[in-house]
Amino acid sequence: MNMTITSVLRVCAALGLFGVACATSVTAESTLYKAGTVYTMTGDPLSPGQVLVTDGKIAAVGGTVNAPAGVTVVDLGDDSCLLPGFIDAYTQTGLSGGTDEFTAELTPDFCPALAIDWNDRGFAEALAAGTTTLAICPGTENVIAGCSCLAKTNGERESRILQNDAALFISVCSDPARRNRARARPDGLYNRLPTNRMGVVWILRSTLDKLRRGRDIEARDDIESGFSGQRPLMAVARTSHDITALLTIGEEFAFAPPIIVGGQETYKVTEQVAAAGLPVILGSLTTGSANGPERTELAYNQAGLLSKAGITFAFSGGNLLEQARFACRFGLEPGKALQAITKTPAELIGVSDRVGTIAPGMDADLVVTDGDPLEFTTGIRFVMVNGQVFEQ
Amino acid sequence: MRALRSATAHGLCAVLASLFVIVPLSKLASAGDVNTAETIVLQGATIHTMTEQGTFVGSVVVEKGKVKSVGKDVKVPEGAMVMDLTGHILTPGLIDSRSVLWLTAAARNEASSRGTLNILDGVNPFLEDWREVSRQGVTAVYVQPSNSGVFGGRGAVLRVGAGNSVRDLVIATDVAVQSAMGITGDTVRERAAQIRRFKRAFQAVKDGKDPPNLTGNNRQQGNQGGRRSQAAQPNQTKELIKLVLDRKVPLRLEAHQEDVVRAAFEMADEFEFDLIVDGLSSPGSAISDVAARQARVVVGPAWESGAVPSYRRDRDDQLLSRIAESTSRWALATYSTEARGSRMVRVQAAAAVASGVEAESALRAVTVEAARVLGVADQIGSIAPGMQADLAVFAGSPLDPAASTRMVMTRGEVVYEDADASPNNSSITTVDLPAEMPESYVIRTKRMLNAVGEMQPAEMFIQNGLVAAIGKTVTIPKGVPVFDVGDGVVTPGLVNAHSYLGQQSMLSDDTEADSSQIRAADVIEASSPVAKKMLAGGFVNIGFAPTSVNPSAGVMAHVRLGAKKPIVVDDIAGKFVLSGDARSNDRLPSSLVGQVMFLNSLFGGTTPMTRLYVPDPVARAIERERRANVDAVVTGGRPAVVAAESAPEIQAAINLTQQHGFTSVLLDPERIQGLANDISAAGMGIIARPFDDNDFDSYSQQLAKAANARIPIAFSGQTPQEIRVTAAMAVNAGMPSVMALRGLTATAADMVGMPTGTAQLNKGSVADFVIWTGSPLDLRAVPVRVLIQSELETVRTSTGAMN
Repeated sequence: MNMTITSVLRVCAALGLFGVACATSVTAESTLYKAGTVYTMTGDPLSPGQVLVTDGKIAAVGGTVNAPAGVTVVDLGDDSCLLPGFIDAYTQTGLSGGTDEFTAELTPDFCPALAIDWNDRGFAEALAAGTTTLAICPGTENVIAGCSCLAKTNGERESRILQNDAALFISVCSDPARRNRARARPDGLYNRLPTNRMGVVWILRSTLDKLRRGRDIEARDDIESGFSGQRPLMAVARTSHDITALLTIGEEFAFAPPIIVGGQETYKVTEQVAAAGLPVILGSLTTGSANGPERTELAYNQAGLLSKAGITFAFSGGNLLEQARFACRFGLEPGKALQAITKTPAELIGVSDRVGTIAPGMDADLVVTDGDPLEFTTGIRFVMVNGQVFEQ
Repeated sequence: MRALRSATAHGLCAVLASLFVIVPLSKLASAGDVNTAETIVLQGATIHTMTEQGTFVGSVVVEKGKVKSVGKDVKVPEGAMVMDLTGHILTPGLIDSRSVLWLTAAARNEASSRGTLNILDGVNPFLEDWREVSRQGVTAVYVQPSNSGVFGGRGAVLRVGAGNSVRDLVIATDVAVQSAMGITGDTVRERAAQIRRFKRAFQAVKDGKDPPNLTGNNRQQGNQGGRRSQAAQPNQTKELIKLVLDRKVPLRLEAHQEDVVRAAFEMADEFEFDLIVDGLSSPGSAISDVAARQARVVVGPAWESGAVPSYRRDRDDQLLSRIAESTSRWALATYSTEARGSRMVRVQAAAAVASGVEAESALRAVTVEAARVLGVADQIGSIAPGMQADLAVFAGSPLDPAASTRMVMTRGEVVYEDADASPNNSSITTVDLPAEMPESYVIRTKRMLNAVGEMQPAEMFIQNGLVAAIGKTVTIPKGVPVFDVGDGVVTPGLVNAHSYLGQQSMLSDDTEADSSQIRAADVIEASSPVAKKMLAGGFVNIGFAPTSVNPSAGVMAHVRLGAKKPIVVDDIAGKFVLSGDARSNDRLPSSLVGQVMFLNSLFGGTTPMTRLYVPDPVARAIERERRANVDAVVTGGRPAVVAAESAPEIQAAINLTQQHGFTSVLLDPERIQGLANDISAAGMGIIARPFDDNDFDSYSQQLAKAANARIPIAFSGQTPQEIRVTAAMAVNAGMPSVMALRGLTATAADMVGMPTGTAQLNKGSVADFVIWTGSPLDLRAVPVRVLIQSELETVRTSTGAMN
């Protein structure tokens, strides 16, 4: 089963590369953008700053840039700010045909890239909000749920894909048990485990045990590559006890440090998480209620608390700039807030060589604002993906 | 291209007009030019005035939203804008006498039994559905409260055009009081009680008293407001009945069954009010009352799509023609429950013609007679000086829905224009043939459908059930009779590329996701009522398929209806499903990703073990059969029919096809837009699902675009009519008719793997053919003879062909 899927993905990837080549040929010439402030995210902001974009890539960045003659110059004005395009490290955008294959317990080869609706409104909405890269992730109803697909928010269908077998996702929460019932008799053709959260942990543990003992297990390579650190391992864990359970199992089987996804109650166990060195992709903030998913107790200053404890974190789940602004209002340092929607998520999902910072050779994915990006009244003037500009 | 010119600069502008052919101008711009002009002259079209002036080639002068003059030689006023419509047909804007256009979703079901409603309160003038309706030449609709109330309130006639306010849409308000008998209670006893209550209420009002409750449910009356509030308000039921008794407003009484129809007439006689009978589905002998009184009636639909209400289920095929013969004062309506359904007025009129109604009578029923029945004939429905300039121009017959609309005008304003509408001169004829055909004979026709999709004069010599010779002329042996059908159309037996023939329940097995071993051929019941109707409708070759409940659904068969052995080939194509129908929470896969993974591994060579509780040898046999059927597709050249609706599903189908390198066609694709190039590159064809009342025009337009991008299109459905409507609407939207005709014959056969030569008439072919009164794309046309192996399979015994 594995072989064939990977080869399909290879076809997708080939199509993708072809698409990128086509898209960039349209923007063959260079453009120099002069902005009031450029947040490179590689060091202090440049004020003023200039960015030269050539063929959809960033060619140069600095206080002043030696631009070749005849280059188009766009002066964005003194108040303007240039930032890297935002990166949403956890979303299910475009998975219109179902986010889970919950009829099986373990679906490590579940690959969203096979069935993304590239016309989904979510892509346009994310783009309008300044998000240029998405990690499209499987749902949470399987203990080992599958892998994520990294994609840009604009481009000709599959050409948007950056990587289609990125992080491996596991669920250390009660979601996989949600739809299953304990049955009185085992007479159904299809009985599915687990039926409660204990079962979730049991399946995870027994799978890891089989892996360690070299027992026969379906899609072994897909599972192993995640736990051995060949690719990021993301664990959806929200409550403090789920997070500590994850830490315990991690210690027991000594697998590569996972990235906590959701992590609504991480602020309660900051010491342990910081000690284990686990980064967190914070689930989208819900306001207007004291409880988050799985009845987690929300703290509006969670990002500030994580920052204080020295935990690496990123925001996710849409409206990234608003989330960063909100976190600042409750005590997060502005610099850290911008990191958490650009550079950090790029590093966590494994695409920091292409996006997340403004530096020569990076993709020209940029966001231009009218003023201080963390000010609530500041609007986004335009967003750029691979050098192509999308006006608001 | 359009040609606008000022009358004062005739010659110069004629030159300019020819220049316009090269310079592409936006359609809006041209409509804008016309709309800014004071006076517009529509010149050169064949005008159906629907008045005593009759039909002629001439001009209509429109000024200030009204028709100023109409005639053969009309003087073009100084400074007028002239629109050249030579070769087109101009009629009054069409009218749907029973519609739900403009009504909010809640208002569509709003009912009352106390006459409290005024339908204008349920109108949302900002709804956009009118555009699709307008594009089919419909300019006015009648709306009223729902028929689930027995005495609902006031109905109105509304314009079909951009409206900024309810007032702007109103052509006439309070045109009728909605009422219904026998809709809610359908036993004879319940109906009798309802009739009694109506009579009592009318008698009470006549005597100056308060009427009793019309529903006979006193508790309901109590619920609708206490004694005090009722005393404070005037009794609306009484007020409205009084209006009816004073003949200020007609009573529009929906009555279907014989007893209520009779009761309606008796009441109208006794209380002397104006009556419009609505419905009339099974009037029985009460039809003589219709004739005796020259009653005003609204009937329809001639063609049913979607769910049919119980009172319409057993309608007589000849009902419409009987009504048309009984009274000239009849209007035809769509009765659609979807806002966009009112665009089907032309389809309904064509269906009426197909069922035996005279063409002229059908056109009157959606124009002048509709206006008369609705009481708005002084404003709309005919073309005469002083009438509202609601006009429709078609690139062919208004009664042939495949003919595109050239232009639509309401109140003198152009609301739709298609300068590229190409003339469609489809015609229908009558065909006389003996009841029995001899053993060998020659059929001669001016219109025989060839393999390219064109109609050409031809002769066909039939002998021993085979086509012995076919050509422009054939050598006719001595003594062989020649049947000249004139303009009658001869086609091969048509192809329905994908159908269950009404046997869905037998074609479903959802225990396991892999049901590759299932063969539709094993359950064919070629004499079922659905199959018989399909055959009588001219469809002979059927792609008989398992249902869509599993990702690997099973094997399709080529069924030849009417043949002694209905199965021609039992394994023409494999069916696979990527659409939501095959997702099940009870087994893998439950998601699209799962479906793709499942099919990938299946095509890649893995056969999932059966978990069915069967003995081992049986299980192994099932697995062997599954493998063989999948291999036949992957390596054996058997085409795959892949059900995929949404964009990611279609994309996945394309990827699977390219990845595994087999031949495939898409079934039921919904969103072709933007994927046409990929579909074409993968060498895939499309089997179109039936057109629906609620579809946007973009569905037909997408099919037309795909056809113009050289993607082969075939059609599918569960009734012959819905397949022909789909094809006709695609042609209306711009699909070349040759492609549509091929999609009903050879292309469709080829796509799903039927044997070469299926649905073609060549020398040596089995003589399966259909003789029609017109093209299958023209919904007025009906099959007169369906012959299988030259043996008469069905004859059109009744005139009712559309249902």
